[in-house]
Amino acid sequence: MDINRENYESWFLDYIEGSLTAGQISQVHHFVSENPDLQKEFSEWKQTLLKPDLTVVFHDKESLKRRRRILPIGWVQGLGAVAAVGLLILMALPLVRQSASDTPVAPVAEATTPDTATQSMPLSDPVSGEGLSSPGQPQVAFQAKPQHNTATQPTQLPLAQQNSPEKIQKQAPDSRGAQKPGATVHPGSPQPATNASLAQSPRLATGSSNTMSTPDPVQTRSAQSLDGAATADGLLAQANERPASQEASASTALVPGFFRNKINDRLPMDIGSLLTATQTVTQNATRSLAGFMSGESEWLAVVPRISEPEAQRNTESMEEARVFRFSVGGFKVYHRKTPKTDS
Amino acid sequence: MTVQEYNRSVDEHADALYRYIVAQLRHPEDARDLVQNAFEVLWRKREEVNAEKARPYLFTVAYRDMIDHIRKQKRITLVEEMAEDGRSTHIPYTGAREALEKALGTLPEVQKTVVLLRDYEGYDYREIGNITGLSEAQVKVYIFRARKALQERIGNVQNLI
Repeated sequence: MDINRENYESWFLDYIEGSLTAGQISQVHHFVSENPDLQKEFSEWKQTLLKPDLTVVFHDKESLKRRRRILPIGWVQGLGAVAAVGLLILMALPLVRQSASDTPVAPVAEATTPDTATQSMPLSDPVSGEGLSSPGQPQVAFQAKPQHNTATQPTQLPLAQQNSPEKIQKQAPDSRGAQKPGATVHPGSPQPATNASLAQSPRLATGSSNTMSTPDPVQTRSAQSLDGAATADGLLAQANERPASQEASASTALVPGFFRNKINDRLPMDIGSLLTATQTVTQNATRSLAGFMSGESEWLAVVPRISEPEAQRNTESMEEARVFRFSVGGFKVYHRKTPKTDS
Repeated sequence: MTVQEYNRSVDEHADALYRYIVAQLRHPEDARDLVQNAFEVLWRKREEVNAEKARPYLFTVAYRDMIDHIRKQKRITLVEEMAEDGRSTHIPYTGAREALEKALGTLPEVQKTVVLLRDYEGYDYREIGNITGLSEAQVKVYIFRARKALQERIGNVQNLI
């Protein structure tokens, strides 16, 4: 339908809307030229086109933007470094234990020296006067040593000197019971009680029959008070248990008290489980980093566990956003897959 | 929509959305609040909105919020001078432009919206219909009525001059 005075308004509308063809536009121009009374109205129609005022701008765009909680690469590397250090610590822990177990050797030497001396005391015991045949009092050596001056029994001294090395060699394993060589002993541990109990042990007494005598009542009470249920089997069990506790104490000797207690509570630890857990965390961190670097992951976030609820609020229902997260120490690492856009 | 795409949407669409709402409401403060709300909705729905659809989505949200806002505030389409706002830059209208803006303020909200979306944003009838919930025919009718009213208003002003 051609333009006429009945429908010219819709033609004018289409004209300013830009929906007319070139021929239709020429037709409009021709119609307006033939109808001068409509030229003013045609001009007014063209003025109805609104033009945005580009000077009106929203200045506070930054307030609309969202900050990405990107885990900087340095942080990722830092996490890897932390995991590596933790792994090294776990791997080095046995070595630390071993080296630390050598440290308290001095107390052991201090404890064994009196024992060794003790074993020679009966040879010069002026009280019993039985020399080697007397089942002496080997465990009273600490007090007896100054008193049992060999000068009082000069005739037994050569015998003592003659038998002393053998006795020491023979008694060494007996007097120390089933204690493992090199095992550490704390100065404050009930070692004298153990030795006294050894004197009460028939089987062990047989092993040191030359030096055994009737137990001193005082010493016996002391030993019983320290270890009332001390039997040979119990002593063996006690001796077998000692290295573990000694290792625990030795391995944490350089650790501050609080952490030492924590470590002691967990020792002996399952190194395999810890290594597996560390490996899992490392693999997850590596996978997240790889996704981040390849663009498959949208972002990474590390937030303290304590602020996790707040983080979830800020990131708007992380569960729905298919957020992958895992824990590293006191933090949680958030890693979201980049959503696929519809083409 | 990723965070980067969202932030890019802020840079690309915030000004246009703000202009549209200011032209509609003629109230910069309210327009700023509606812009913030529209982007807040976009952020919450970013998983469902593609980046290329962000602009019409923002205008759709803004239009609906604006209608609710108008109803709540019972704002009548009276032409008022826009208060100068430190956060926005606005140049007072003069001459024919002022007459056109005043005439725009007299239009019903739906006519104002469709003609603003058409002229400011260049949306076609179908897109305007998607934003406003109208059919293409309805959009065309409202645009015709709006332009006819503007033409008459302009003609009256020019006659006075």
